Amino acid sequence: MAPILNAQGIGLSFPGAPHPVLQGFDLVVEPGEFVAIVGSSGVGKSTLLRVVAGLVAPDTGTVTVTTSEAPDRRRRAIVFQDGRLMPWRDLRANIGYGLEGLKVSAATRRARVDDVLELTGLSHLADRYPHQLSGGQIQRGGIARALAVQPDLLLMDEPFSAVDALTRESLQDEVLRLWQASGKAVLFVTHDIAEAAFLADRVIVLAGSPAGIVLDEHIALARPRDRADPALDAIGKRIGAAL
Amino acid sequence: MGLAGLVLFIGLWKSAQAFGWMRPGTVPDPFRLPAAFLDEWRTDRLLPAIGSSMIHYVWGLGLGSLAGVLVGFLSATSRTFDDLHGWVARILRPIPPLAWVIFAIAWFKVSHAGAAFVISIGVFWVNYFATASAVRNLDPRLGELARAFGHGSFLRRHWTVTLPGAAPGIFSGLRTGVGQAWMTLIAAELLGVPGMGQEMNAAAGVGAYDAVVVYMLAISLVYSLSDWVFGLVEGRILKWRPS
Repeated sequence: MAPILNAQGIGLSFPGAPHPVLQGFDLVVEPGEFVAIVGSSGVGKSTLLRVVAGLVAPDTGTVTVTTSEAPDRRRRAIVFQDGRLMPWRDLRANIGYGLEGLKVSAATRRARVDDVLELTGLSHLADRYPHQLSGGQIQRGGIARALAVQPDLLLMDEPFSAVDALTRESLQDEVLRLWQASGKAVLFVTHDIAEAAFLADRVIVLAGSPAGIVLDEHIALARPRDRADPALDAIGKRIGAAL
Repeated sequence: MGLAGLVLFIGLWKSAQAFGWMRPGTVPDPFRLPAAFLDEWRTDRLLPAIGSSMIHYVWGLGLGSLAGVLVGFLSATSRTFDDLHGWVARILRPIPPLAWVIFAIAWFKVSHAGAAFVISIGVFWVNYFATASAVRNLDPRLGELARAFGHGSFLRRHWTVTLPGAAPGIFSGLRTGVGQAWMTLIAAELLGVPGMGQEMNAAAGVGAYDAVVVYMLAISLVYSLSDWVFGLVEGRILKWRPS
């Protein structure tokens, strides 16, 4: 089976910066794989995610996202660090944003929004505006909005860094549940080593300038995983050492 | 308390008139106002004057607002347009709207269109700056959101994100314009177009200062009404804002 994401020879410089952010960077993600990208802040992991998302055009290299063509879906969808719901739309309209412009009937659109509302446990909040939601609910809304377009590749940019520890754990469990239920590939950027080890099939550690892969660790631990598992701890230490 | 303040104000006013603090005959008796009002009403001057003023007001405000929002929006979203019009705006901006009265007469004769033209100039600048700065200060992350969810084209992006995002700023410009239009209206009508400004001028000419005050109060009332109506509309459209 072809990889779902094949990024080859990615190079990117920001004007005025002494070093390129990325240079000759390769990344392959298989269908259904959960890949975490870890690195200290400023290393370029969010930039890498934006290149993969098609939001930033690289100076060199190619990004290929192989999915089945369908006019009623988007190949990839992104969950932002800040949730980024539009304050002037209620939750339902925010979640339906990505469906506008796709070839779906109004009835189907509504049904799909209802589905992801249900899936993310937000059904009872559908008519609320973002300022009436908690940080965790906003973040869930961002995830629901991404799921609504039924992407094959879900990109997540430090989605839980701004929520409290308790909410973070429950959101992590939820993402795993959604991932296992949907079979989508996930590319998850975080600076939290324990989070990466707990969630991912594969942890990629970025370091240096330009950023390179200093560790590509496959985590074969069975799921569901236990946060207190000493094996996770050991993996975390290896990742930490690489950083 | 507010009522007490009003009574005190009228008391001061009455004393000013009774004790002759100003040049005799120039301070109207507040208690004579109802009679003066009835007089203006019965002689069929008040309502036609208000009606005529409303024509100038609605057209001047409408066209000035539309043009101001449009040009302000373009200047903030199109680099080419911004560069192109920058110097023209800098040169025209400091010219007071009333300086255009001369050209209003030259181009439109003494007509409704002339008065509306002068009013629209003041309203234009208010809306031009309010809209341009509201759009410029919009969170750029919203533009990224639009592109990430398939609304990256110029029209889609501005329709789904820029316009609603800048709406509070645009509305505050529109509302300032609602007031600004009244300020220029009276002066614009002094050029001889029928309306409240002209009636005031005529009344002042024969020393009927009480009639002048009747028109001043009429302006105050109509302005308060239009501001109230605008507030209702604004509240409806921006109902998503936290209260």
